[in-house]
Amino acid sequence: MMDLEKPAAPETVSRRTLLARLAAIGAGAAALGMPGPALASGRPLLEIVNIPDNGSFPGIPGRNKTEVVLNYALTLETLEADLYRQALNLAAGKPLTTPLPADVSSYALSIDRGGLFPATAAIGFRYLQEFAAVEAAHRDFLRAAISAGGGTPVEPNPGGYKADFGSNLKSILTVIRTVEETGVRAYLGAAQFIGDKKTTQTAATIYSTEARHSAAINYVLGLDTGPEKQRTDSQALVKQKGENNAEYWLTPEQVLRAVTPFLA
Amino acid sequence: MNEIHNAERRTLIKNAATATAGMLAGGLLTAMPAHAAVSPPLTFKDIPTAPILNLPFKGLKVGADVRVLNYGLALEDLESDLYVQALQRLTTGGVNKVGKTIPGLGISEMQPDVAYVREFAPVEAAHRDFLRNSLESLFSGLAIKPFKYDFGIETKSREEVLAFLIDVEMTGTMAYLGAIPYLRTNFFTTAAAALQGTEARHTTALTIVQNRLFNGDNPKPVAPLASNNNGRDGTLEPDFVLAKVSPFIVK
Repeated sequence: MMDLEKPAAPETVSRRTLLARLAAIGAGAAALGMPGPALASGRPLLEIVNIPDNGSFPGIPGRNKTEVVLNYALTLETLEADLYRQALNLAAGKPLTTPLPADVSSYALSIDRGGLFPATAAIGFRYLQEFAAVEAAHRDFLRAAISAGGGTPVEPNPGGYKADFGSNLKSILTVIRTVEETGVRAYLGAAQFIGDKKTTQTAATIYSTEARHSAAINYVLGLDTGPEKQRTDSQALVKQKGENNAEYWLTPEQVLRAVTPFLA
Repeated sequence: MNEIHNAERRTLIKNAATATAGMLAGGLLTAMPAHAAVSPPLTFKDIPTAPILNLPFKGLKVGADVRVLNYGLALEDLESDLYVQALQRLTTGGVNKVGKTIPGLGISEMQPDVAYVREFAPVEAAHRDFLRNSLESLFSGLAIKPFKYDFGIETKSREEVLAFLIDVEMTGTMAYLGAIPYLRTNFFTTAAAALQGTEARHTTALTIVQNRLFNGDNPKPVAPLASNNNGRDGTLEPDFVLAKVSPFIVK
């Protein structure tokens, strides 16, 4: 490991070596976006970063790759918003089909805590209240952004969404946790297919809060802050010692396959 | 009315700027660090890049990306040292890299704030090392030289330490987001976002602990509410962030 106290001595690099390194970066940058053969396909570049190179978004519409990514995000946010609505309804003892009102402050925890301590359960319920509204806001924001760009926002799943939430707050939050953590990985696996950095930044402002939600729900469930490496995850950094040092990514194909059980 | 001599006016302006920067940075009325801070404050243009890498290849602008990476490295380096000093302050004390003695508050490792500081410290160090090693592997000498930091942590209370950590983590979260448009290739986009996500998690985890320990019946939101920027995290420009942290960078 480098000693941070000593400045590194300048290295004499031959022009050919430098150009070869730069060409590798250039080739990597230019080649990004081409769909790879495998589902979880990544490309390690210069032994530093591992970038998704599977740019296949099956079934997601868009006039260009950027719009496809936005519709991909919208697909997931629409799903997430509805599952949160259902989760909150279940936890508050309301019919599953109850629409999400603008003000959920009157909602109260009405089911078994599932073993969570009272104070922790109260926090968890509050997160359901707050985050349900946030995911709906994300969904609405993406719809507006796609429309404003002249595109057609993808519609919700015609049959709606479903999940096996179980019958207590802990089981509900366990399902929500899976959705949030998948969302983080989905954004990270799609980011580099966006064609302009302003849109990448916008998508990242949403991704950032999915990571926050994940951390919050992990706390309530007594789990690590995260991200924690899951079985099908890909690392963004080629060399990574600590499991929680960086987020992981999933390709769009992996994510779309993973969320199929939630489609009613 | 007495005329202010030009030299006195320069001193007044400089002191006002320092005081403003301090209030901006701390957000709290804490004492200014004793060591002279880097002056004038750093700007994004001060962050080293490698013009040689801006070769006329189509789409090849790695030089700009180098500046963003070095900017990230500067912040992660600061954050890593902050975590070291915070741990010293919260627990058994120590001496920081500018030679200042930090009395320890003797708080138990079982306490949630100490536990998270202990857990997150190596993550920040890993971020710093990743950025440094990435730059050095592109071209030896490319990485920004590390600074030394004085946060005035030796007089901070337990609550102030936590508030300061949250402030810095939140700043880092928004700094990464604010830096994205300055990238010219996608070589480092995924990696930078991968680091950013963990800063967002840290901000939330520490806020949860702050709510639990200090905020009683008035918990702070642990993530942006729906009414706040469509429930999305904000972005901060590099110049703003560097001005905010410069008071803690020792000359």
